Amino acid sequence: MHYENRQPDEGLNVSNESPLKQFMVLGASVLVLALVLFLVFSFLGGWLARFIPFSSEVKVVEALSIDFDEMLESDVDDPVFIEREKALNDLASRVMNHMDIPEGMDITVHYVKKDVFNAFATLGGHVFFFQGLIDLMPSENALAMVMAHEIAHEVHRDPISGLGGGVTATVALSALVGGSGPVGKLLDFPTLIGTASFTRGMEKKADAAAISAVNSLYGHVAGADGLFSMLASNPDNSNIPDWAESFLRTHPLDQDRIEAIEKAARENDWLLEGDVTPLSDVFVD
Amino acid sequence: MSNLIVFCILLLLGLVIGKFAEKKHLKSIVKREHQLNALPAIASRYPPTGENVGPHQQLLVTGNVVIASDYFKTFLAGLINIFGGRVTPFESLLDRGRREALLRMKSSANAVNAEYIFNVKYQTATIQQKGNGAIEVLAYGTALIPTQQVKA
Repeated sequence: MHYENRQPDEGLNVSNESPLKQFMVLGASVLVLALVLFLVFSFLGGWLARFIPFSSEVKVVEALSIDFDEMLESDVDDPVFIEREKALNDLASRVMNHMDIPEGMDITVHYVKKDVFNAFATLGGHVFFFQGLIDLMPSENALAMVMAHEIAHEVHRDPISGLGGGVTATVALSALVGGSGPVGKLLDFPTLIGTASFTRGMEKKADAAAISAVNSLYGHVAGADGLFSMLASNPDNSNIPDWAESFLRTHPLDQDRIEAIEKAARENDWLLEGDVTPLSDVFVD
Repeated sequence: MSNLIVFCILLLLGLVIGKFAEKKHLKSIVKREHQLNALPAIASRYPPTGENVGPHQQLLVTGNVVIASDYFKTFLAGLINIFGGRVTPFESLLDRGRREALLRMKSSANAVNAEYIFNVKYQTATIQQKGNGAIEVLAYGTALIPTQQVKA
């Protein structure tokens, strides 16, 4: 009895396809798909979130009972702190008199005595100003411009829209692909929530509302671009090339913002020249 | 961010080491297949008949292997699951599993001086569904051992 098995050729049961190439193509497709879905969902979520009444937004923030002062390590008994926070709130109410504020919307300005170059608006009508930003303000007009810009964000419901969009997109995407699945591993969901900030469109709209408020408050727009002019002439604070910056960052470039102010002034016959009010001594150490 | 770094390292390890291990395994499979080539393993349910088939003893021979996927293969298979198509990364894995199981079965038949294995069958089972996944492949058949040899 003699039999012999003939060996079949190698690779009959195995596809001759490069796994690395397959990985690249499929991985890129998934990322593009996820990005498109993320954008669609954040747009839809952001759009829907604007329908949440401001009063509900305030209630939710109150229910969280966040002590902003404690969180930001502010010394609330410090007379300088009290004085500066009051001065900021006074400026806010002066600016608000010249803005279209919906009924029932209250803005609370928080002063933060930290050397951080920042000011931002968040849920529930809370606006934050850091000393590091105020230090660089060349005039009250420039500060009023930033103040009106942040208040405009609240009026346009940008904080809730940004958060609503980010949360909707994240929840929808993780429901679709599963947070622990292969795609879930590629997308770091908590990071995505964190990146849900204001879009450039929101920033431009806030700028437009702010410049109109400043013009109405002072009778001219001189000095409103003070901060941006200063930043534009000192571009050493970043190593990112201009073209990349204007594409990546959400805030319009300083030079673009100055031009937008001038353009708005020309279109509306606002005065570009006028007496600039100096910054109150309260803010100077 | 650290999650992403760990993920990329695992993916790279899976790709590099997994590919190396697979190549090494395949090389060894081909070598042993040639060594055991003279021992026929046939799927037919019936033993050979004919004048020159002498008296035989029958024995169940089995070959069993548990083989695991690597991180890269599993991830790539997950991606393919979204778009559909042949799950190519698992094709080579299963091919290796089947051939290794058959070789082990033949080795155990060879050890008892069997001349022929008939009624060869395969069975597979998933033994680890979470994580990267591992499968068991079992090959079994009936070995024919010439009786004279058994006596000797």
